[in-house]
Amino acid sequence: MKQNGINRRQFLQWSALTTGAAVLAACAPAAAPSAATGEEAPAAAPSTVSYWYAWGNLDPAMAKIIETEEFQTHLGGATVEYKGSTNSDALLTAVAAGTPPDGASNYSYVELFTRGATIDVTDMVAASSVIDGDDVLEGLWNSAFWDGKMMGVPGIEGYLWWGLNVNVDKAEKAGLDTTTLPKTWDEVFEWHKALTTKDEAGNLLQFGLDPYDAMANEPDFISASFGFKWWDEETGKFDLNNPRMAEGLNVLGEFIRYAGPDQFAGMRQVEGQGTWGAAYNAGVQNMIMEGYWHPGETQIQQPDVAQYNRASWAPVPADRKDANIMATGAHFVVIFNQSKNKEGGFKIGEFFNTNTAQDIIFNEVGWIHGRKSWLATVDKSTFPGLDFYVDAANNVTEWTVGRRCPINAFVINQYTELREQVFRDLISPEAAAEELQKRAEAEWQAQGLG
Amino acid sequence: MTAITPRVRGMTKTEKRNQLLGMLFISPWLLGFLLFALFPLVASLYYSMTNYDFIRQPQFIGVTNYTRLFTVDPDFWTVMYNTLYYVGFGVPLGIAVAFLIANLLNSNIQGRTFFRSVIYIPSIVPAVCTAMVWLFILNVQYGVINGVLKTLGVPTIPFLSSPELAKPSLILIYVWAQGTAVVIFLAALQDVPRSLYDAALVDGANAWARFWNVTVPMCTPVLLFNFIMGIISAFQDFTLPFVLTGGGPMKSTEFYVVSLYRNAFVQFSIGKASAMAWILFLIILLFSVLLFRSSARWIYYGGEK
Amino acid sequence: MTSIPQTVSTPAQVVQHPSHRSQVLLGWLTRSATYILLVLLGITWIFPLYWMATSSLKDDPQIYTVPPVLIPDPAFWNNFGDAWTRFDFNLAAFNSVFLYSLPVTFFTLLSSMVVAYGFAKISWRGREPLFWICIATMMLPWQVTMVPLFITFKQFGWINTYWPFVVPSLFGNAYFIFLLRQFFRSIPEELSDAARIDGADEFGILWRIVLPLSKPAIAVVLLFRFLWSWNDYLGPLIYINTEAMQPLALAIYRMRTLALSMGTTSMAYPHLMAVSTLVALPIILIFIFAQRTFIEGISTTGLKG
Repeated sequence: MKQNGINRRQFLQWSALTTGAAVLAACAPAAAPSAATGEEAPAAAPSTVSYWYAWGNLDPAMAKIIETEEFQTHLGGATVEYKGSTNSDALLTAVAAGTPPDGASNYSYVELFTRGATIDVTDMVAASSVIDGDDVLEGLWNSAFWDGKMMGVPGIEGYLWWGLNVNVDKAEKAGLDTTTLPKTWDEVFEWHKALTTKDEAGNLLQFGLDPYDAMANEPDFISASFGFKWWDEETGKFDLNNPRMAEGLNVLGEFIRYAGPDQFAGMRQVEGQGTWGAAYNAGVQNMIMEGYWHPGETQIQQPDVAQYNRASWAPVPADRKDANIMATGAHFVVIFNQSKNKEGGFKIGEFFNTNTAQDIIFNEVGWIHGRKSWLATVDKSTFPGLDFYVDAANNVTEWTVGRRCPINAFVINQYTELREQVFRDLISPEAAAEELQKRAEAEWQAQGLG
Repeated sequence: MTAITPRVRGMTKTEKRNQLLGMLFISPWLLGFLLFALFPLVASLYYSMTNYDFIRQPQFIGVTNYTRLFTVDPDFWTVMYNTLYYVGFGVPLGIAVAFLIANLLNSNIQGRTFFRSVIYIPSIVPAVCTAMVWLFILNVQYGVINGVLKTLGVPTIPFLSSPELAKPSLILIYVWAQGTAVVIFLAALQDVPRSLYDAALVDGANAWARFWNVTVPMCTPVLLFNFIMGIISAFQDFTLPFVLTGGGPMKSTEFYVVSLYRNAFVQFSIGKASAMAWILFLIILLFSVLLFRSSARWIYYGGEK
Repeated sequence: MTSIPQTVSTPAQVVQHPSHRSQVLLGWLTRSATYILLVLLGITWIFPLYWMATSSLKDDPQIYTVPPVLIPDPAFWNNFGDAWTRFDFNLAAFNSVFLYSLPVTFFTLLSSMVVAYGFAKISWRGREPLFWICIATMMLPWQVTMVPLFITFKQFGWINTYWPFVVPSLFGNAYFIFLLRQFFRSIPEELSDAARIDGADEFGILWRIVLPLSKPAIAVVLLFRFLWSWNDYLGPLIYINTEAMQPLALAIYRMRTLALSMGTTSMAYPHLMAVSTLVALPIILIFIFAQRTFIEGISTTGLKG
């Protein structure tokens, strides 16, 4: 009796089965890229540069930039694999996996840098013949530094962040006088009331301003508007439990109360009525707090709405009506500790500081990078509303360099929850301010920053 | 089984061979158990006692993550409340509805297979697809339900955009997807001996009495089993809340695993996420123990009747 | 629970004694009420899927009309093709089928069969305690181990590949090991013994005797494992981070995210509903053709969809 071992025929059967399976599995991951966009195998080829960004609308500009001869020469013929619409989860996962791209833009720069994921590029920038710090707006240039080190290569876009953009056609139809746009919260609220309409059953049809949309989503904005500093970079102390914070929560909350919190949230769940301009482009939202990119982006995405776009100063309370508040901050190309081709990543960032790249980005996407010599060449009537942003730089009374706090994302998250509790009348604005302060301090400590 | 050879000092040759073969056959599972269950469980315990963000090296901080979760963490108790609400209302309701449907299907009707399929299919369709259609149906502006309300001139219902209604709306969808339970209950109902109903009928019991005195007691084991399994799996629900509401509005649908995912893979607070994972593990362990301990009672039930 | 019933037993019929007229009337009323209830429930249950399918055929005006349009007219059949190519769903389908579902299903079956054979057909010391541990791991939620496993797989460089799904499937799955073991034990030992006398070894017995007799159980494993991987969302969400590698579930979600954030989204809903329908369709078709296998799988082990 041959009970021990496997006889030859069965051995063959089994091994055929298992090898077949193994081959199937082995082929599987390799087969995907070839079936995909023809990406090269990541065989550490030095002549490729990978560049990721979170924006969804930069792709056409990237395609054009790469086609230029100037860019090809600048990168020494290297192939650029760019990947847009890549959210921060995907990037962080890749960082965690030790396979970050060579360059990346539009992520939480400070958080990446303070955690040691990205490198200090001071020396690379100093050695560059293309990047000239003196040619870049001061606030913008300074925003590149953290603790005296340079977090990334400024470029792509970065200019004035805050303007109240208004659809004047809708405003005129609502009987408003559009020769001067509203400046104080009281005035803006009157406009909001005029621009918010409901049907007979009480359903929201359109609204004026979502006071927490786009740039107004962040604590930077409410604190600058109401004139206090929510976080001190020097001392690392929070001042969220400020009476003016409570006041702000109440004033801004009134906008949502007027439109109806549930109706408001419901509108946002509709396809094409999301935040950051979608609802504005759809003509459902008629005022929005956005920056220099808004006129161009709207023009490119929805010209029939863009033609009525006007921009003016961000709203402030009546007792601060002469304050012209403005924030700035650059976008960077950051390079990771574990990037394979750091030089390549840097060169992409460098090239964003050329007129060629800036022209393409301006025309294709509508974005501005605050390089003075290039700004001088911009026709401010290119996009409706752009003139405000081009002229504003000299009239700002209060500057904010935005998004500096290393737990900015955390604070935004908590701020979002607590302000909603305020406008739903679940807690008082004072209690919300106090709670936000408490949570921020606890997180600061939990992260070992204190 | 094959031990026909007389036993000589410990194991016979056949026994030795079987011992070796048996262990060889189950070795893939044993290895997988060590690699993909035991090791990560222990590793998870270690990470839960560190401060770790994937980028910097883990720092050992003892039970700080646990104490922070229970005391200062802004979200933990909200998340716990949301999850208990969802589990506490959703599971009993799901069981009740599924059991009633199973009873309807078990009556003397034509087309049972068809109705069973209709009820069951929603539970196997990819959750992402059902999430998409529910998003659409429950939408305040263009959803079909609110479309009908608008036609009638009635105010619309903000199913997913109101913090009060978001959880009930998700429970509604949960109940809709309980087809699996219906199938299990139907199988159990069909195993109830007919003689019991006959006897009850002879005693003059009406339909309602037969349901309470025969059907329910006979199905208690399977009801209990499904109840506990339902709790365990509802605790882990992710796709529907994540896709439908993303945890909002106002964190009212931030459920346990959604929060765990966010802490781990969005905030990269690995220590905190691991502590949450262990707390989840202990909760589920508790219910598993309940399940096993109560299983003795089901066998008793089954034996007696 | 020792074997899978080959046919679903006939339901316990309500005994009727048409002794007098009122009882006949009562029976008739009960049955009518049951039918009405079932039809209403059936309509409610199927409605979301009906809405998904019909909305796929509408254009924007039909989507946004109040009162809602119940039957699309005209029907835009090309929506399916347009939606499918709006993003690269062919690639996502390739990933879902060939990188994820098929290899994972195949390896799970193979490994679970071998392990189940070791637990069912060979007697050896320590078999029972190990089998209990195996059953206990069914209770260990995947979410508890996901963080350490992610860290481990990341060290292997397996992020953005399907190895984190395929490799663990080589080590068996507790649910299916349990299911197959129960089934294998119902196969008479005489058959194996006869084969042994003919000179077959254990692999030979598994391959030539047990496997051909276990087709119903194997079908259950294949179906459910395929279903789980086809429907899986959280797993790919964690491990897959490029569009080129994403499976269908992620592709749908991404389509929805983009539709929400773009100002001009013509045909957002019809296209979303169309891809959801197309991704749900294979599952529904598989169910229709393999209904009995599904029902048996659930009734025996309580497998969830």
